[in-house]
Amino acid sequence: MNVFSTACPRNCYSTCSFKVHVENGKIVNIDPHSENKATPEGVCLKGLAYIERANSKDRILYPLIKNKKTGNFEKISWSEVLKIISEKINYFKNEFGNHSILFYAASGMSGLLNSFSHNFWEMIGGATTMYGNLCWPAGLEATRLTLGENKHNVPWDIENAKLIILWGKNSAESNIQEMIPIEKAQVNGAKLIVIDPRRTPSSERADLLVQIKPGTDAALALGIVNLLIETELVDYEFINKHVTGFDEFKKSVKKYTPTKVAEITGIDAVHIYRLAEIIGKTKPMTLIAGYGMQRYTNGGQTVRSLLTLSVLTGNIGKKGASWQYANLQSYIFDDIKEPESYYPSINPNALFRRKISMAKLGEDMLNISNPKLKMIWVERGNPITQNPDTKLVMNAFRGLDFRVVVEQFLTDTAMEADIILPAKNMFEQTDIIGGYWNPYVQLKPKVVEPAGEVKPETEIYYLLAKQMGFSDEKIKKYLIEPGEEAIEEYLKNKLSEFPDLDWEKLKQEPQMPNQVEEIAFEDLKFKTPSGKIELYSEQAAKIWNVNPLPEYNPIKENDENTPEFPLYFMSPNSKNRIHSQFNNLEMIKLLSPESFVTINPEDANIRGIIDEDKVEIYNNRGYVKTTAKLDYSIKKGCISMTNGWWIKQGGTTNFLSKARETDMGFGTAFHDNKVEIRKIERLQKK
Amino acid sequence: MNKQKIFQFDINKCVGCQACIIACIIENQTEQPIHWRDVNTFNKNHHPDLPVFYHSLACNHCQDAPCLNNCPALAYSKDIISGAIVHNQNKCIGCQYCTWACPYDAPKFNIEKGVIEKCTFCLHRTEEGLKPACANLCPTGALDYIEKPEIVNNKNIFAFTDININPSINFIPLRNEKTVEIIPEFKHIEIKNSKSKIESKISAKKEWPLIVFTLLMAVLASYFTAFSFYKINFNPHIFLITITLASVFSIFHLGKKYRAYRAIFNIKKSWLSREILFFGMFFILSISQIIFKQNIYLQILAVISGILLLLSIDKVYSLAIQSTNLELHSAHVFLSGFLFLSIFIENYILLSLLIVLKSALYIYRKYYFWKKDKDFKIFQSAWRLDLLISFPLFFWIFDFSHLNLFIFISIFIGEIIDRIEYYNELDIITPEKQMTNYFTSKS
Repeated sequence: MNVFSTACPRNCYSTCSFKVHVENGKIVNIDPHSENKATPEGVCLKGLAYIERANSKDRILYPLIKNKKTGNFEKISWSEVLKIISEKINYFKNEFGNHSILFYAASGMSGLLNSFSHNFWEMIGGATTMYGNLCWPAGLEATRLTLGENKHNVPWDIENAKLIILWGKNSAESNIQEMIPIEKAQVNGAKLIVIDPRRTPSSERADLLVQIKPGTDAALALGIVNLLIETELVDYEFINKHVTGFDEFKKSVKKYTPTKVAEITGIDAVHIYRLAEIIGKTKPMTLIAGYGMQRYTNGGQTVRSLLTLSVLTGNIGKKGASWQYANLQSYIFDDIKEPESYYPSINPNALFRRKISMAKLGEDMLNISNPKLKMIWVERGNPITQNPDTKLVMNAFRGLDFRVVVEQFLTDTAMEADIILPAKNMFEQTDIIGGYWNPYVQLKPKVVEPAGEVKPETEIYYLLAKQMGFSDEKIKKYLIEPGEEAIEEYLKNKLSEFPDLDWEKLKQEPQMPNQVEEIAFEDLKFKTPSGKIELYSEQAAKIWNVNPLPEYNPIKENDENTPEFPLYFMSPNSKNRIHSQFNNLEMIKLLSPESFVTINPEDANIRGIIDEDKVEIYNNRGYVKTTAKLDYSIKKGCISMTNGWWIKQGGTTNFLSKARETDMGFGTAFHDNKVEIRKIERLQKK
Repeated sequence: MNKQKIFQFDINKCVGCQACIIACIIENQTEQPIHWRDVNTFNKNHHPDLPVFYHSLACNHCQDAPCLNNCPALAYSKDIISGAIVHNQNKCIGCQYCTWACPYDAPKFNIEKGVIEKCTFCLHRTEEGLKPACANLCPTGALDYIEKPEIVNNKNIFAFTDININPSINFIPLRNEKTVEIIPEFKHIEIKNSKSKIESKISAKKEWPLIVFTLLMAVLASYFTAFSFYKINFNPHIFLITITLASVFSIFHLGKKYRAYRAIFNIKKSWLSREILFFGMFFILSISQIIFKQNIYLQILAVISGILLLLSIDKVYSLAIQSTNLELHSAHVFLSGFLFLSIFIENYILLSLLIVLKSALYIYRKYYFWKKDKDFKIFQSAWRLDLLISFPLFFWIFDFSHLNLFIFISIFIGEIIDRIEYYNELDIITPEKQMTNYFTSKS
């Protein structure tokens, strides 16, 4: 048996290091990797489920083509399938232009080799591509505008905090290892405050849970800040030295009086005073903001508002004092970092027409013209399940002439394909990954041969280029040769810019690049136009057309304008999945067999719903059918169903979501979503 | 010598992620839906006045393990070095009596294999100096495997059963037992368990062959006693057929019928072994007596083994009625035996006394259930009492022909009802139930 050091490449905070045991060419077991100080106890249950995922009987192991008559997928050889795809690409290219092909890639697997996908489309003369992102750009942009960079203290520094605020983050499910330093801090007497409409496992050991009305977080933050200023609980020395725009900001937050904020947020004024006192007097404070609350139409301004709490109390750049949103310090290979890498292209004649919004995929695909879209290539993503307004996305998909999906499993998106190409898994090709929480650069080596006829994407593109008749020279320029040798050479070359990162050492354990600051902004240098922390941001006004100062704006779907759909619909992540990945596995189904909606018993009562009733959640975009679970964990007026359920499992929550962009960063505001619920069937008593 | 190691569970650190369950499934390749480890949740519906916490439990490898003590087939053994309680599938007869004996729901019955399986303490790993898979892979470090401390803390832990069996688990209790303060405050909400009931491990529906067996034993033992000492009319054919049938029923529920002989291996400790032994003796002695006729020693021995059989049957079940804990129970087969005996010998004074005694016990038991807010079915109970009192009285007053037969049938049906109720009342402590019981106790 061989044991390899590796790291999980999912779109997840933790980016755990782990050791994988390989026997007879199969993944057989997993061990923790204690060298990663952020994930010393090992991976989460999904990571463990790789044992099943890598060897699953449901995995797609060879190219499939849809039989137009029966609708079933049938096995096809690589040579045939490459021929079909290359003919199609050439046809669309010649007949309608390169821009008639949409290249859609999402966050299913991270790694440096992903850039070769982009290179392929560049080589063939361009394509239409996506701009924006489903996840976190509003908060990234908010942080960038304020602090100049997205970085924060290392995760294990949380244990030095005396006050920890989890604002809209449920670490216990979405970043379980963060609970380790939080617990350590609590043992040392730190206070934990959670602000979330849901009572989550992360809030169980907290001192205080503030169940705020969704979308009103900015108002609460600014209300607290206003009191901090009034009661002189701000750090003037820090503000004078390192902050710009304080005077304008001070004036603008005066309107967030406790009474007004109480009205907006549903949190009594007395508690706003209390929060201000705790935040003003307990230092150091680590404020950890989640991604959920910035997926609203006011998300960017909300995150800017929250950030002022850390800034005005001087909780930046010190031990235990940190604003934690995203830590991109390990993204050392990227020329442009998120969120700027998400921006659309301005030049209409560019090779790549970056004109399809992640947030508005369905709508944009249907509406784009000159040329219209004819073909889509999907990899590392499941847009049917995960992009907003599923019905529209599905219509857009079905309106195309030709769909290629590269996948490991028969997802909702793969089911819509004309051709499915079998995707590699994380153990079948070497790559290097970073993370957006811990600061490590990690090597994820190839430890098994690709299963069945699986080929890594780099190889698929290489063979496709050959099939399309590109010259060896051109292929060499854009793509990478099949086989580990070329990949190792490519990655080593990448590493050569960073002498502190050693290939052999990376094979053993994660590495922290020299440039990583364990305490971010310790030098108090900020890459903003003014070089200071910007409360007042001209850039914000210029780029995003928002108030240069952080402010509270009501979300689009609120109590006033959508009375027919009175419930706030929350679609958070679950510990059992990463978005729509993992929930087809038997191990995961054992723990989480079917979807359900969490509803407050009072809301259920009004609607005659009892526990375990079959219910329909609906609005004017669509509906989903699921089972009601009555639970006091959810704030009255909200209901919650985790996202990522496949359609055949009772999903997807995106049948209900509206395709909208966030106020900044080209994020996706699908949490701005109101619904109604009704009983459709009562479970017969056994 | 290495110090013994035990599980440690820090309730503060566990967030209920269930990775331990997956780790165990992978390591031990258990066939789903069976999983040896489970994570039970307190306050599943998030009552605002109470905290939510979790217990991750598998086998606790108790020093005084009830599974080992009660297994009739000696399928369990203790690994001296590690202290692990090891279950040997080749010795298991699949009677599932250990699932009644264990308060931690550790032994799991594999229907396909017909035998029990359970946590091995990952002996194959610990022997190599590794931690058990669950403790090795807990992502928050809540579950661990540590050197046994001087004082093992597992008494008075919320919702963790302590029946003095010295489980090999050390708890780090909650730092703060209070629930998180929630804003805005909730108005008062009554604490009550949700409607969905936890399915009991024992029920009349599942264990009907045992109901048939135990009641038939009461009838046969009393019939034989009546024949031996009171010289009643005795039909040897009916007796032989019935007792053979009963023995078939008794092994009917075993997962491994061909290993039934192992059931008497634990006479020293297990009442189940004793029951089977006395049944075997009664079977052989009574048949020998019928064949050899009028051998007084055989007769006395057969009657004694019949009585001991009934007593040990009641002892076997007393293990599983911990929640009610009635020393003398109206459904005890020992009493049923006497009842039938009084009918067979037509001693109506004795019969009346027994009917009064049984009715009193029955009413007391129902009162107890009614008070405890447990399942109480008034019509069923009325029928049961009618069959015991009113019907026989009616037959007697109106002087039915075949009076005895009518009384017997009426009382026998009554006993069936009583026995069915008894089986449905049987109540085994499980961690899941402890969580709900503890929850209700907070109301």
